[in-house]
Amino acid sequence: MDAILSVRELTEHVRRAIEGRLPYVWVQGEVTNLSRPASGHVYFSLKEDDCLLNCVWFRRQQKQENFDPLTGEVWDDGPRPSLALSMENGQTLICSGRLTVYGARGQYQLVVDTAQSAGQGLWYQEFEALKRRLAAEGLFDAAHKRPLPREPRRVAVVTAPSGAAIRDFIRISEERGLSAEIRLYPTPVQGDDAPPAIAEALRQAGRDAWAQVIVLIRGGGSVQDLWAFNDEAVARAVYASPIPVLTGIGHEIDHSIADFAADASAATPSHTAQMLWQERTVFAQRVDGMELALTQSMERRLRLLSQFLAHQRQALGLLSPQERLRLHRERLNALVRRMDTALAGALEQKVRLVERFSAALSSLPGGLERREARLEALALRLNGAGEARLARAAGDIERAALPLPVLGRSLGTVQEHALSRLELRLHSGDPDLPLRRGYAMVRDSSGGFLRSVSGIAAGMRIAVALSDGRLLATVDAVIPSPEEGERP
Amino acid sequence: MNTKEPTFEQRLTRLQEIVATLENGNSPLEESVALYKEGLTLAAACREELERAKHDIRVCTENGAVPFEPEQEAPGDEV
Repeated sequence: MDAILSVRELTEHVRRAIEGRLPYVWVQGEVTNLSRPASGHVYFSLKEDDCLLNCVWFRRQQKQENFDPLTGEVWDDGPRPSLALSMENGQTLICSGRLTVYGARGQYQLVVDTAQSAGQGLWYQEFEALKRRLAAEGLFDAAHKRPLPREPRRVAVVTAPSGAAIRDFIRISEERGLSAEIRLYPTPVQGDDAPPAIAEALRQAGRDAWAQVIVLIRGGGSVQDLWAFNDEAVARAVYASPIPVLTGIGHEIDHSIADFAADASAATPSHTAQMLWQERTVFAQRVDGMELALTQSMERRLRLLSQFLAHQRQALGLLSPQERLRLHRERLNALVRRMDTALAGALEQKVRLVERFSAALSSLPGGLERREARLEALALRLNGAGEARLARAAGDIERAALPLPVLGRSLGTVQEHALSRLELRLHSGDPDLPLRRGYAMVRDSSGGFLRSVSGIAAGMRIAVALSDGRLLATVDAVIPSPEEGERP
Repeated sequence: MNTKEPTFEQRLTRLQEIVATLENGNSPLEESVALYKEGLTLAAACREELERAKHDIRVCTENGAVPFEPEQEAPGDEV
């Protein structure tokens, strides 16, 4: 070559050399780094010891197979779905396709045309065999697994000091937990010397007996990158650790023997930090919540107490001497009102009696003038008697009322029966006295006095006042007296 | 006052106790007021501790545990 080539020109040379010399190839290897993005294309590598071939299996090439692509044998049981859907890491495949150069990445790759399983790969078999053996020994038993400490303050981290894992772990832990001490036990996490170094770091952390939990982490990588964590010595050191071990190895999809042997395993290194510590904001919220509850319960308490105080003050007011005096005065007024009404009723009765007598007198035949004069005299006498009675009653009232103000003033301390005595005295001027002698006073439902059976019908509600109370009754029958006689 | 500073968790537990007691409302008022003040002090102390919280990261070497500063990622270093 006699000129300086541009990258593009050199890439084109390589492409022509590779694609020209190896137009179509068949190749066997173990699948690793398998990835199935949403596009439907399948990306993987074929591996043999320390050699790796990147492969891409485009979606349009992933056909149902009607026959075995290697032997040409037609399937008896009909078409089979493409292997692209079922292939797994660790599987050994025989692939056919074109070798191309992917200039953008400076890589050559196999564009797969057909693929056929050639039995599962050695790495995978090794992994499965160790897993079975250690499981049989009980290294993965759930009964052996210890709970992780909550919010640990002393954490040992076994990983590479320069790796992404420790950076992720520190970054995630910054916003989590309370002030904790984190001690890194540095170790390589990849290559042949990694397994014994990891095992020794775990043992060292155990001997130091300082940490509450050991975190064993490593960032994502290919199956080979993570192989140290499928090592028996590492698994046994994890199992034998006197301190609980939390693993976070590779990506979510990766599972290692160390994960199985650990007390707990997280999906990724970041996830281990999340499992160990709560976010600090959660604590802050709890503190805020409790402070709020504190203030609210205090305010509620004070509110209840002031309400209680107000009630007591009100009750005290009701029980005061002034209030008792007021109640007694009200009762006295009611009694006086009752007395007035009763007196007015009695007076009305007398007036009617006079009217009836005068009517009877005027109906008598003969000597009219004489009788009129007599009537006048009688009327005068009656009026006088009425007035005298009225004056007597008023005197009674006055006499009864005379001690009342004195009594009222001292009622705060006077006992209840004193009032009863007063009431008795009041009653002595009461025209209801006849009731005690067996007379009854009958009123209709509107309170009017009943003096005649006329106008009374069966079923009418009446109130019969007796000396010591009232009877509420219903008229069963109305039987007028046989002759129209007046009884005095 | 204890000679030793109480931990965050101890403060939080005590705060929880105080809140429960106050919510019961059975303690005498004077005691409640004292508890309320103690609770506010605890909450403030907890908050301050949260704000101050910072992990101490050290790496174990032959010379003992020394402060650790994560290295910048070197090109091609993917572990």
